[in-house]
Amino acid sequence: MALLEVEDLTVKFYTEEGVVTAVDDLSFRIKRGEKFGVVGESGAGKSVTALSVMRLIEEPGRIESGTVRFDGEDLMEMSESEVRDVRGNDIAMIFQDAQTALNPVYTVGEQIAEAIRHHLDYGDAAARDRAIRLLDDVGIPEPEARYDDYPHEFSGGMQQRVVIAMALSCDPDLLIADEPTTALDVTIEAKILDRLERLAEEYDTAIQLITHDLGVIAEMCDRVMVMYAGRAVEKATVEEMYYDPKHPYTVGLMSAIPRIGDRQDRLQTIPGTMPDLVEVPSGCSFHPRCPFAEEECTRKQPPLVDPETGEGVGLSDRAAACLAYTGDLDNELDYEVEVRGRAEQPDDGQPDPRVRRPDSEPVRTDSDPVGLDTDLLDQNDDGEDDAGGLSDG
Amino acid sequence: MAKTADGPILEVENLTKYYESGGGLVDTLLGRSQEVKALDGVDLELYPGETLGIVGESGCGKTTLARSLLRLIEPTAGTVRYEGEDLTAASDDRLRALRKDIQYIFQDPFASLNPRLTVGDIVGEPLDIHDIAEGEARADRVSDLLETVGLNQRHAHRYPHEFSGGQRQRIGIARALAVDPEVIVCDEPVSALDVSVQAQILNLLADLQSEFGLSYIVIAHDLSVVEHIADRVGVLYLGEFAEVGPTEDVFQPPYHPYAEALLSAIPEPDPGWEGDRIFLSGDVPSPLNPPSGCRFHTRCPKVIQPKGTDMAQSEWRSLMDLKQRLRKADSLEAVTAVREGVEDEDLRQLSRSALEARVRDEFGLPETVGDREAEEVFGTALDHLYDGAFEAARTALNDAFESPCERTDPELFDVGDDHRIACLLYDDAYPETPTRRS
Repeated sequence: MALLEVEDLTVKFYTEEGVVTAVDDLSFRIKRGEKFGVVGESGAGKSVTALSVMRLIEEPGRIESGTVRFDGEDLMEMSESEVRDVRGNDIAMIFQDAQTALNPVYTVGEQIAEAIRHHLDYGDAAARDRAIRLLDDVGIPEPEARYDDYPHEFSGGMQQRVVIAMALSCDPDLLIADEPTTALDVTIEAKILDRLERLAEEYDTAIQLITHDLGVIAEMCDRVMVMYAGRAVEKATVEEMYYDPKHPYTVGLMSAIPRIGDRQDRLQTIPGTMPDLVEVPSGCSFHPRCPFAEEECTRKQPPLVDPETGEGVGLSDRAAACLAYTGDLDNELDYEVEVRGRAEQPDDGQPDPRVRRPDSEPVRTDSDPVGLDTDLLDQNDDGEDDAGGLSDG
Repeated sequence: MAKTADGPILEVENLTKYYESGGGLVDTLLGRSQEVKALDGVDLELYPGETLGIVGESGCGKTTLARSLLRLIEPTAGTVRYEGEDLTAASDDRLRALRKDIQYIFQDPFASLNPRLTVGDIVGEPLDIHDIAEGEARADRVSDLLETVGLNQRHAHRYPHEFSGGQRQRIGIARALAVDPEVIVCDEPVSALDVSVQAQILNLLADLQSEFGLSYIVIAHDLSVVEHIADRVGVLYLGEFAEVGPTEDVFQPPYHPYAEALLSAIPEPDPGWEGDRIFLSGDVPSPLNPPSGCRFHTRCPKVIQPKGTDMAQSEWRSLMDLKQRLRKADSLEAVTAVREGVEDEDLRQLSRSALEARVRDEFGLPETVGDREAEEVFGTALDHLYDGAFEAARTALNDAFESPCERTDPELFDVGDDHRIACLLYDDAYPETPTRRS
């Protein structure tokens, strides 16, 4: 059964520079106990999506349209006090920056106990007891002794654990984790993700994990949604996404990450940067950076369709938003994807890019205020680099 | 590029940086101030045309190393020789001239560009300072530089806030290139950037290296970035090198246990990948009072057992954890596992066997430890704990469970061609260790 159903969500920010459409007609579904990943680069609308689900969008932002059904009830129709009941109790959130999520003048234990008393009507002693057990659950050593510590006495990794303990304190059905480990070292990240995964299973909590790190998604999630410029461009299970990506942006992301054991000299790049959301390119918003873009892509916005049939799909089905699947393009997408685990990597020293793409010129537009940051060096790939550089050297 | 036959372009010896800490006036007068040993005797060489990667967790001294190389912070001791000339002894004037050859790219592309200067002036400033070009020549040079890093010369009249993070990092790179340097120290050059932009910048750095024959020192916490870009890698832990060697060698056995744990922790972008993750106990200890001997022994899964003991390595690690925990703690709460649904419990009321079960639970110790003598010592320590005699328990554990790693600070042992690891496992005095290369 669907735990969370978001349909046609549109969120706009009315800024001085213009209207920013941060989330544009977004729909997705998270099942009970499912681990759902949201990937994309900065400006893709990942965090705004999360905040909208919690109804935490503040001025100058506004949820323009759409429904967010949690457990069958529409959060958009609820009163403020009803929503407050849902927050923390049913849906909890973990933010990227643990330090700002914790109140510096209360002890960490008290902050967790407060949430428990408020949401679960526990007495002081029982709340304290539960808080200590939660601290132990998230792997804080000596939880009883550290109950009375203040946040500044904890390291970054420990602070994030406290935030996780707080989020889990009321046994939520959905945990929204926004870049929970981005600020942490890999060794700490590994421990926290492992802990989060086990706790989610133990408490039967669904997770919406927001991150830019494809490694984290591969490790944690069941299904993924890739976002670009406020829209979902691809939805799939992790296996489909990593072994058989359908959207050119997903393919670009997969090939841009350096992988351990991969001895290629150059990384594949996606030229340019995420567009300014005040002025999103016409048609498919990815077309200025897409190696497969054609004339049609500048005019027609691609719908999310089944990449096999080109038909519309349900909320949790495999889908990609590219005109290649609706029969609007003259050519086909042409790329290969190959992902191999570190262990099986043969050490033959051959340059063997995992994902190959033809080096085609992206279609130019002049919509970018600073001028497109297309990677000049990448376009001059084969041969003479503009030697204008250091002539006096 | 591989190491060439030439001598190193940059040679660092015993580079050390201690910060004063707790330095109130009274503390200083009473001689109570403590030293944070951010960097403790680091040696490295950089060869022409190569990229040296420096990795490690936060707080291990990466940035201190990068900054003291250029004397952006004054090192406490040690020498930095650039083409034979000692930077640490150079006068201010001389140092300024030398910085023409050694440049720095900063981590934060938002904080490292003056918001009041146009991009043209930011990139042109080093040209003015070092009297390299004026007037038209300067303008030409600025547009050349912008083009070199993949920006448009039209951008010269814009201000930093008009650019995205990746473009700003390009501006920072153009500024570093302006003086035609030999060496560029890059401190986390891509950690603030998105994945697709990160790839553009890494490619740009590689292209510039082959075009201008630059040597890089790249500081990064992301091992996959370092593996991609570096020819050689140094793994820093608490201000010391744990492992140094060619990239391929560092990224495969033999490993320093710390490097192995770091590697195993990287989330692999492949859902089908199943690897054995090594979890380290605890966080990086404070450099205020770094652990004795090998600084990694407090977290090391492979910490060496004393002669004559024979138990599973995980049990030994657990006993070490217990010992370390007791050093700082004076309560039973600190060494026992939390029980569910029990309120306001007085641990001193527990029976001896209940207490034992709880301690074993907290540290993941089995019913009996594999080594009989160790089991007896554990029993004695528990008796003391039961009696509330923490000092006696501490002494019992400290006397019996002392790893060689706590006593001896390992030097960097040669384990292969130009590959060195600072771990007693690779010392010939401990021949029975399983991880050694035959």
